[in-house]
Amino acid sequence: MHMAGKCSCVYNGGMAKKKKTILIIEDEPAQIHALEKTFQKEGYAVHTAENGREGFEAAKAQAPDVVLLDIIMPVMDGIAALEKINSDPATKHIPVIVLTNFALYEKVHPFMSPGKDHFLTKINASLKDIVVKVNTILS
Amino acid sequence: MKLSLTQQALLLCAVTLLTSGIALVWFGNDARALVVAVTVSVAMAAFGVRILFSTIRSLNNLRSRVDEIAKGNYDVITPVRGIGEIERLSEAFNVMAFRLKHHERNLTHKAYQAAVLKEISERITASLDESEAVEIIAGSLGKVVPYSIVSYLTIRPNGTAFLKCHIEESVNKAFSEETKRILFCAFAALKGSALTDEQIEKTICFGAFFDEETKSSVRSHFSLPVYVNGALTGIITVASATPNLYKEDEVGILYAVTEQAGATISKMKDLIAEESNKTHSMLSSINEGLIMVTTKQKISIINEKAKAIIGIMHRDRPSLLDVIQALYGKFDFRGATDRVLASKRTESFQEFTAGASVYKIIANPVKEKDGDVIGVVFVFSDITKEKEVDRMKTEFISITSHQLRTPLSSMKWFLEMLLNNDAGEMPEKQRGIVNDVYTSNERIITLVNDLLDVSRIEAGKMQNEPTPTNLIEFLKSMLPEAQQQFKKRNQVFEFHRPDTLPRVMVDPKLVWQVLSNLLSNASKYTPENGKISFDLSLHNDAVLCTVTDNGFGIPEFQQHRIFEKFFRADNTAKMEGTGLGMHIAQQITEAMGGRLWFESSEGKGTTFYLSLPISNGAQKQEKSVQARGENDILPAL
Repeated sequence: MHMAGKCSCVYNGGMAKKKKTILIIEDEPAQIHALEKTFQKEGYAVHTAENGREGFEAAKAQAPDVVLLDIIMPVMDGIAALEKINSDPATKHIPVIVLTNFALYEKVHPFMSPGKDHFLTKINASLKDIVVKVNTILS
Repeated sequence: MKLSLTQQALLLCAVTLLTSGIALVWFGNDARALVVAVTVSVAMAAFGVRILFSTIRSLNNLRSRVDEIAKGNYDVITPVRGIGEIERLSEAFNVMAFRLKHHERNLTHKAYQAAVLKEISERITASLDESEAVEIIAGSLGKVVPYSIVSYLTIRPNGTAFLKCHIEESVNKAFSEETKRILFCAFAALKGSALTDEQIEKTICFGAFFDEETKSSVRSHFSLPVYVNGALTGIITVASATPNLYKEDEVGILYAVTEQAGATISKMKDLIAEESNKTHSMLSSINEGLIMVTTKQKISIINEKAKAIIGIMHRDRPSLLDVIQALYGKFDFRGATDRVLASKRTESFQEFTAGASVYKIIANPVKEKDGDVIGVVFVFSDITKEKEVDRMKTEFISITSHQLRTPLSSMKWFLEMLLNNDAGEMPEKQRGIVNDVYTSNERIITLVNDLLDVSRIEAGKMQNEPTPTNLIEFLKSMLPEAQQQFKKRNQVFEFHRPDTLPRVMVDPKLVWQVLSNLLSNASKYTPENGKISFDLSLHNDAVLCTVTDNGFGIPEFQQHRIFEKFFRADNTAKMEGTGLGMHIAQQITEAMGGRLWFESSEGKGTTFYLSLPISNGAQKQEKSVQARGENDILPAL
């Protein structure tokens, strides 16, 4: 169990150089807030989007290093957004971490690109786990 | 006039005395009187001797007569002539013989009747078919009376008839035709209408060949009607070439036998009809579809509900083929029948949807008292409502879990941020409180996750992706984190494993879900400073994972409930837990094709066994990458 030890900057790789960018596609404001704060503290440039459509547009416009993607969202859900991201030449190289409480992994799995995309269940992941995952993917 | 023996003796004495008296008076005391008296006495004595001899002869006669009666020969009736007493005695014996003869004949007839009736009733009981009754009676006739031909007509309820004739002695065709004519006459007389050729469905003759050389003709005959439930079901005509063969009393017996056989069948038919009615009403009124198939692949029972489910309401008596065709593509009825007949065990089959309803199909072998399987009975139970309730329940849990997971994960993250001092440095007291809240939140998260797991398992939505898995390597990567719980409780943890294990075709995530549950239970239900060991071993075609603790154990009387949903053992009721863990573990194990069981002794500890089959094919014995063979005693991290 990872209790709240003090967060050091061990995970803060590459800060001296160009800031890594992360796009958070999430409709729940409280969760956007927590994730945004955490990644800013880790030295990331954070972009946010509140639904799948905005998220996909932001991914094209911002070309982030990594995307955190929720599934159950209004306007366009995460599965459709994932499909778009992974089929658009401008975005299909961007690693996506599906971060959701949606329990039906098998519905998402077919749209994930093996090796590039990952799946994390929100309720089982601490912020530290998410940061470690993102840093691992980007290292 | 006949005199009895006594009378004759008295008469002789009287004549002697009288003659002697007269001579004495006549001659006076003279020698002549003496001569007369002596002469008369001698003559009388001679008479007496003759009577004696005659008596002895009569007695001899009588003795031989009685001897004959004793031998059972009642027919030798030679009236004994002679002296009155003996003649009367002889007459009495004759009367007795006559009576005996009569009684014996009666008894013989009765015994005959009883034997024939017994045979007929036995054979009819075995067949339970009234049309066979005629045949059975006709077949038994030979034991009662001699005949040349017996012709018999079996009349079916629809008016058609079978004609059969059994030729016992070779006769010519005309003889047979004559018998048939007599039979038809009897039919016309009994029915009031003649039998037409169209009514006769089949004619069969068997027995001896026709022989046109024989010039015999029908010289004696009689006909027997057979009535069942008041309806004429048959006529038997017996014919012989011998004249005056059938005595009235013999035919009388046969009438009686036939009548009684008809009555027996009537009673049995009534009884069967009553029972069949009861069964039919019962089968029609139950809510389950029922079909019974015999070992001869015939439908012996199908109730209205079953016909409705299958969609063959229009068929009155559907055949096995009708049922198979109606179920084609939905349920392999023949395959299921064969399976149950072979296994002789109850089998349940996949759910079956007909219209808007869902049915569960269970097939039971039908066994006789001696255990012989005589068929299979299929029960179609409507489980539509249960399914709907189940679906709603699953949906409810799923939605609720989702709705709960979002705020819980937000709380989890914010509490984490607080503890990380992201919102500023916290005094120790506040940190302690927030830590407690964090722990409580984690407990709710576990409960919600468990509920969601159960709902997913029940909805058949559990994700199971088996891949060839090297369990040693996999567990080595997973165990270090799990060991933290043992360290916290100062428990010793030992991991024993062989050098190598074949790869197992399982979903490692699911294996870990089961094992992490067993390990955390072992820690939770073992006191501090206790010992937990985890063993991996190969047993035949399965890898066995064993988790042993020396903890509280499970009370014996509750052991059978351990895998029930929400069950908590009495001795752990005060401890944290949802009662879902073991249920989930067992469900997952089943989904993986494995087996989960345990041995426990209260106060001594518990051992859980998880057996995972090495599925056939692809798996080969693989060298573990780590060559270290000794049992790892991993330090608690």
